[in-house]
Amino acid sequence: MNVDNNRFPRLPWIILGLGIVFLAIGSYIGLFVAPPEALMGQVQRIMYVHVPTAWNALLAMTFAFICAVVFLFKPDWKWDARMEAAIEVGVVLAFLLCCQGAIWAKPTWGVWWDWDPRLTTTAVLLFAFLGILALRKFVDDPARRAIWSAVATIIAYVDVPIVYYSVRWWNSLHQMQSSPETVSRQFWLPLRMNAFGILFLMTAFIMLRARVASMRLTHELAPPPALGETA
Amino acid sequence: MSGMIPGGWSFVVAAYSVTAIVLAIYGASVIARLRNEIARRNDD
Repeated sequence: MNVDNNRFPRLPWIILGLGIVFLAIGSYIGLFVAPPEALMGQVQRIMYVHVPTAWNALLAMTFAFICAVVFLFKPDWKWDARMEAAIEVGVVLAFLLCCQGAIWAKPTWGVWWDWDPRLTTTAVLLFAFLGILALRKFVDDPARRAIWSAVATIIAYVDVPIVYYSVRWWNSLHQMQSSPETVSRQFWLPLRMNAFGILFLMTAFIMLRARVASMRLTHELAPPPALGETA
Repeated sequence: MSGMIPGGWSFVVAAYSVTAIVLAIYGASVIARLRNEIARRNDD
């Protein structure tokens, strides 16, 4: 059974290149062109990588959730491969998000980490999706692995809206969500450039990683060779 | 005293460096795994 359906082999590489270019230009503007913020000064420049990472981490997990739902209703191995890819990329971005957040927290809050609602729910999200990756490693049967991880992904996804709204629902040290509407006009360009840069990188990583997962599935689902062919 | 956090460039450099390193290492690992799978498929 061939699960690997690679119709556009060059597309992920083009998107990857676009992502690198956007992220490089956006970071240059964020570091050297945009002015320092009135209260946070130079430290606010971390926003240009932190906020796009947060948006795209949640987006990758949303895509994993969509893949999980589609797989359960229409069992097709390509959705399982895409789910695995989206979960892994989401975990990498969530880990990066926590690192960037800790680096920003130290000069602004005075601590590297605080168990406030936004940080706690983000840590829960990271470990929940990390657990799903671990589950996929431990289950050998592809069908069981796909169904169990799809169900686990749907359950873990409940935390995504909680992460997003945590700063509104509870009294949090973390500021409200940043977007072009909530920040000064001078900060829009690097924020948007980096948002698209990380979006392109995330898309390319998911496409390439889904291809790896598809090729592994093709290998796993292949019938064993006939006795005469093994010698 | 302006109320602005003084300095802070070291934290900015750290945040951008961590971002570049994590994304580069993950990208390299995905490409390496893809190459391994393509090589295995060609061997089969």
